[in-house]
Amino acid sequence: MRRALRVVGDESSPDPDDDLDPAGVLAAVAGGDLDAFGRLYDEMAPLVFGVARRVVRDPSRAEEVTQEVFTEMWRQAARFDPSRGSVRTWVLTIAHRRAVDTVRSTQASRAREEHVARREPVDVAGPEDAVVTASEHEGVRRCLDSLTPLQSQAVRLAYYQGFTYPEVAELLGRPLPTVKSRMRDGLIRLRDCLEARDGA
Amino acid sequence: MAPDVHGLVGAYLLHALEPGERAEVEAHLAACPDCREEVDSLRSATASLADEVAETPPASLRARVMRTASETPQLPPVVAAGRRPRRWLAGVVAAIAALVIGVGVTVGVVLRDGDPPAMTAAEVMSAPDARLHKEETSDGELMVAMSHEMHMVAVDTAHLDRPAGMTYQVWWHTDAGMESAGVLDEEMSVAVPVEDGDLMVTMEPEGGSDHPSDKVLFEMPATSL
Repeated sequence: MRRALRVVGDESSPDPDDDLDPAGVLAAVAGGDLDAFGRLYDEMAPLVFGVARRVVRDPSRAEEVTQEVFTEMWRQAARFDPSRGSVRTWVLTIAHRRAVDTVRSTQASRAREEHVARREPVDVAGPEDAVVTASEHEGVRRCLDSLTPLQSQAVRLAYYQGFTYPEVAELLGRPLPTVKSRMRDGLIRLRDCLEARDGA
Repeated sequence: MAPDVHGLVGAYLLHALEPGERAEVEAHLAACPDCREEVDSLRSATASLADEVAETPPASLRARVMRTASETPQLPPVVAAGRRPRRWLAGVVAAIAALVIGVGVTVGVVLRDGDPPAMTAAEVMSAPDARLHKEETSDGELMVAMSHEMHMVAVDTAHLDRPAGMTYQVWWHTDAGMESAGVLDEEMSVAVPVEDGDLMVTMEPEGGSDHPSDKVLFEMPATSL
């Protein structure tokens, strides 16, 4: 049985969660509907590929990651639980995790351990406003800019570069507990800013 | 939430944990509904970080993805009598191959007055537009990051197997000739302003050299960085 699906046009509304009924599309995908899967791909591929490209860098490997993520979507569609979050969040969580795992599995563990063993981080006493980035973009960029520099750097180094938090701590020359805390309170601040934006 | 696990939520959502800690957090989440609620509420914000890096994939990828799907069997829903379906995260975890359990490591923190700021290379690497190059050399992995917005390049040699008595030196090879941009005697990483020329990283005797040695680890025009 095929479910009726909303037709998704090329013009996206500002909120990606609103421009189609992703849960409905995914339910159709779970029923083996390849057309619905194609719509899911068209909607999500730029974000999935963008994350993969950013984290793994190499374009052909980023394509492999993207393909793996969508194959997982196809396989796992029936197991998506809408009470836990949006389709978009589900897809992007899997995409980022897969990209990060790809990067880590190809880095020599020996080199990584030596890196950690030899590194002598230096605590930096300095103004907390060391990085001031012009807020030119709407949305997440603006909300990222509302983070403290340390929160922003910790979140960015982990998400966009795929570093582990001990590696981030080394790069920033900060103690592990500080970096852990900044990642958490950075995400909390990001969430609150995005919710305020969406509610406005 | 247990304090130690609680503090790891951010790193967990950013996939920045070692596999052992990740398993610890997931075990805790499975038994703690309040903790799951916090994690769920932050997961969407974490995923929104993807918005900044969206990029259209090659058109050929769509056909490959569709073909693979048409040949791949789908999994049935997970339904257990008298129980909620497993949260979808469990599906994610099951879907992704387990990583080798990492060796537990601790990082010593050395506090010394008068050291040069180490933030700078990290600042460049964490810049929104940073492009990271990882160069496999015979001595290990060299990282070079370029931020056009900051007009800076970061060089990180921490993954390199530095021989005793040797150092790494960063150069700009411009029309004006070869110019040293920094010697990494004390530091593992350095950030230097972008010049109009080729960036080079070489191995040199401690203290640095006036001219680069033959041991070139990295060379790339600034326009390609």
